[in-house]
Formats: sequence, C-alpha cells, structure tokens
Amino acid sequence: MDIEQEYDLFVIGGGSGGLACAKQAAKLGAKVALADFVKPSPLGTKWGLGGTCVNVGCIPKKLMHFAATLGELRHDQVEAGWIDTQVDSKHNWEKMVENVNNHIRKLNFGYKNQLLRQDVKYYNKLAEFIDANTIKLTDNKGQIETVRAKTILIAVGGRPSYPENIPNIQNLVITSDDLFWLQENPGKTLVIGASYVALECGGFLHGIGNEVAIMVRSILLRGFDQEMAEKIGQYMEEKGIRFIKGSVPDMIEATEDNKRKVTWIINGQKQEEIFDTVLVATGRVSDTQKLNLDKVGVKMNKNGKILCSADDKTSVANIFAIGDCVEGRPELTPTAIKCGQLLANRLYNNGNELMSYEFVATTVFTPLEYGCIGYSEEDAIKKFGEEKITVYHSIFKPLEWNYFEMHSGESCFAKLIVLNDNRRIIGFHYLGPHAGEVTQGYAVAIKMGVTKEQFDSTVGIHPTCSEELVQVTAVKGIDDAQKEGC
Amino acid sequence: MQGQVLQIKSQAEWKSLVLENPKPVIVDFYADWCGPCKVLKPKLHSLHEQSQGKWELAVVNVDIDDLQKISGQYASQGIPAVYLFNKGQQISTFLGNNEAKAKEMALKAATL
Repeated sequence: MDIEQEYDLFVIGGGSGGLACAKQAAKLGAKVALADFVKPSPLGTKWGLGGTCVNVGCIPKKLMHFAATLGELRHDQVEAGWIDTQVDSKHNWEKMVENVNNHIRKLNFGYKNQLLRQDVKYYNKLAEFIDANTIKLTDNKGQIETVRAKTILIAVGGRPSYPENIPNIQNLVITSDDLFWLQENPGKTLVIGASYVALECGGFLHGIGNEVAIMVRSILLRGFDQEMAEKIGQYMEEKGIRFIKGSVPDMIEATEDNKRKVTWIINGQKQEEIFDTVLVATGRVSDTQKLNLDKVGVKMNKNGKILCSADDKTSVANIFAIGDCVEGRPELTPTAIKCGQLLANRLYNNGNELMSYEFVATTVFTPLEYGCIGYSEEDAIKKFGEEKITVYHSIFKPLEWNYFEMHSGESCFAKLIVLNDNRRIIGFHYLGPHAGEVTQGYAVAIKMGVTKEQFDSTVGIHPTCSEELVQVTAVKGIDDAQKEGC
Repeated sequence: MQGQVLQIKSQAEWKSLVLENPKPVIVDFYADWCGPCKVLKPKLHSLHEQSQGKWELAVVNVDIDDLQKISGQYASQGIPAVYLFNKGQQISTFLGNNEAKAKEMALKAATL
C-alpha cells in the first residue's frame, strides 16, 4: 500500500466539530485534511458535507418547525382582520421538503468551498485507523488510499439507535435520518420515543396537519427539568397530539398495503393500530464502531462513546476527540464548534483555554418552545439541597395570543432557580413563543454570574414575553404562579 | 449549432469545449438547488439565442464529482458565477443573478 500524504492534522468527520477545528487549524497555519463520509441509513438516505446538524438535525428541524408554526398562525390572522385566510387549507409536503433540501445543499456547497479556500484537503471517503498515525480511506467505489498525520481528531458524531426487541425494525421504521429527506408526506405517524427529537418531530408533523401519536416508555425529555417537560407534553396533548404512555412497541409489521401495524401492551392488555409511518427517536449511538479504535488503543465506554480528558485527549497521545462521539459532552452543535476551535488554538497557537460546558443555553423546538440555561430544579436540589435554593415561577400569556380565543392563558411559564447565599441565578427556564430568541441574551448574564436582584433592577421591554423574566416575584411553595386579575 | 448549450460533464470536456473552443465561451456555474441560478439561466439562454452564433454558452453543474476541482476554482465565492473565456483565457466574470452584467458580457463576447 502506497502511503501518500502527510498532514499536521487529520480530521475524521465533517460535522459541526470537525469542520470548525479543521478550519481553525488551517487558519493557524497547520496542514490539514478532513474526511467525511455518510453511510446511508438502512432505508438508503444519504446527504452531503456538514454533519448531522446541517443535514438531518437542527437546520431541517427548525425549518419544518417554522412551517408548522406558520400554519397555526392562520387562526390568529383571521382574528387580526385578514380576509380570505383559509384556516383549513392543506400543506404541501413536497414543496417544503424541496425547499429545505435545496437550502441544505447550498450549505453543503458552502462548506466544501470553505474547506477549499482554507486549504483543507477534503476526502469524501470513509476513514478507519491502521495505526495511531495512519488512516485508511475508502471511497464509495471501494478504492483505497492511505494518509499519515501527526495528530488525528475523531469527530464522527452519532446516528439514531433502534430498539432491539423488534425483528427487521430497521426496514420497517424511519428515523430522523430519513424524515427530512422523505419525498412523500409520512401520513399518520407513530413516533416512538420521548427525546426532544421525538417531541419536536411529532410536534411539527402534527402542526402541518398529520395525525400523530407519540409512544413513550416513561418520562418526557429525560435530563431536562421535569416540571417544564410535563408542561410541554400537556400543551402538545391539548393541541391534539395523542400520547401513548407507559408503553414500548411489542411488534411492528408491514401490512399488505405497506402500512405499519404496531402492537403494544398497556396494563396487560394488547393494543394494536395501523399507521402509515413509524418514526423511531429513542436515542442516538456514537458512530465509532467501524473506526478500528480498539486496534489503536483509543478507549471507549460500553456504548462506544470515546473517553476523553478535559482537553479532548483520548487514551492515545496524538489522538483527540470532540463532539457527540465523546462521553459526557452535550450533544449540541455550538459546543462542538467552540470545542473544536479551542482545540485548534491549543494545538497550533499556544492557547490554553479549555471548553467550558457550564451554563450552556439550549432550546427545544416543540410546538410550545422551551429555552433553558443551567440547572433543572431536580439537579439544583440534588447538588445544593432544597433549602439552599429559591425557585421563582410565573404563568403568563403572550399579548398576541389575545386575538384568537382558543389560545390558553396558562400554558406559558417561566422559572428561575436562585442560589440563596449569593443570589446567583443558576437555572433559567422559559416555556413560550420564540424561546430561542428570548433565552440567548440571558445566557450572557447567567454566565457572568447575574443575581436575582440584578434581574429585578433591569427594566423590562413592554409588551413582550421576555419581560416576565425580569419581573417574576412569585416564589414556588409560597405564591401561586398565576397572577390575579388583569 | 446555433442555440445549443454545452453541458460540461467532465474535465476533458472542460478542456475541449471551453478552453480549446475556437469561439468565445460564456460559462455558467450552476446548481439546481440555487434559486438565483434558476432565474439567471433563461436570461443567459435568451442572450445566447440572440447572439447569432458569435459565442458559445456552457453550463457547469457544480455538483458533478469529476468537476470538483474546476468548480472549486471558479465557483468558490458562490453561484451563479459566470465567466467569459476566449481562447483559453478568462476575459471577465460576474457573480450572482445580474442581468445587466450578463448583457454586458454577451456584448463583449460578440466583439471578440
């Protein structure tokens, strides 16, 4: 085998983390190459450069969630005076998917060009380790080439996992890998899972007019604040999304007309129902199986996630790993990006800043959106003790919701968790419209150590939903979250 | 043949049909997923039809694997990216759905 190129840095994986590190390293003068290869999903779906976020995650998700919210606004439009708005007009799935996919292809192209302009060599090939400095690259025709590099970064991310108890499940269900590229509306859909992926996808499918049921084994949004998770679920149920609680599927079969017959057990009773599509969103698994990591000695946990120290080093001195494939990291694009950039700075510019995962803001784009920063109430109690924190809460109604009478006055909710001894806000929770836009600014303050009193001394912008956060006075356990009167 | 658009599919075709073409060639770097490209395309076609065979129109689809190096060189700032070549030399270029610049380029091509 002819060993070809030598690089300072070889990045395996062209997603959020890999691309950010590769570009930053090249900017700092390193000779960099990056390999990205999408293994098709069991149903054959594949996509271009950019990783999960760009192709089968954040980007298409947010666009489709937005499409669904536009549909919901039709009722408000009527009451706000617009004539000829058809509140029950149909949604054109093909048109939405075409526009979403075209945008993604534009992003794929943009990333390819960025790599070219930054002199990062791009291999559209599947990488695996031969030894700690040598990588084997295989293209889609099976042709092999070999490269050597001083430092190697693993940024391979993850893929959806499947429940193990159902035979042939990979050919019977779709996952988020497939949903955003589906050429036809998935129709009446059963979503299996209680993750944010499950709730967001179930949410927008319902919003565009599909019949949706969501089957959950136990709680919603494990790891998130459970009071908020329950309210999210409640809102979705009130909208007409059916939750099948306390169940997992027992059997999934294809029917003669290619629908899906799903069987499950509730209270000892067998239930069954026919769906057009079953979407599995029960979790994600690190995509490290085919890298040959055991051979080079890179240690992983039993789920395939790579074990790294705080400086992203694996158990092999010249091999680093970042992003979703690493144990203990949040599965988020912005943290992978920042982590990749800081790693490049440490490797090639004498930087010493490590990535901090404290007070990272995030938002769940369910039909009623949820933005959060810092501790959930459960985690705050566990870490500090119930008597060491004070929880402020407030139910509110967006002003704009007063046109259309069917909007609830009790669904939107804000919560702040405050540490008593220094009055720092350590948990921020907002359930309401535009949650991502509302939450982002507060993340700056919270990272800087803002106190409840500083929040209170901040004048609100009126009339907004966000001003609730600097006006909340009701204490959980003492005061009602609902304000009295007008 | 007048009115025929050259679809460049390989590096070999780039060489023979664009760089070695005896006539001036206007090259349109294009993709189906690019909105402005789709708007500019018929304008270029119509200018070509009116040119009475004085110059050729070639289209490079930037998604074609074999042309990645060429697309990378000429379309790295974005698309639509339009170039005027004469006897293998780049004469002028413009970026984006710009009808005025397209007309200007067509006029220039006709005088070469």
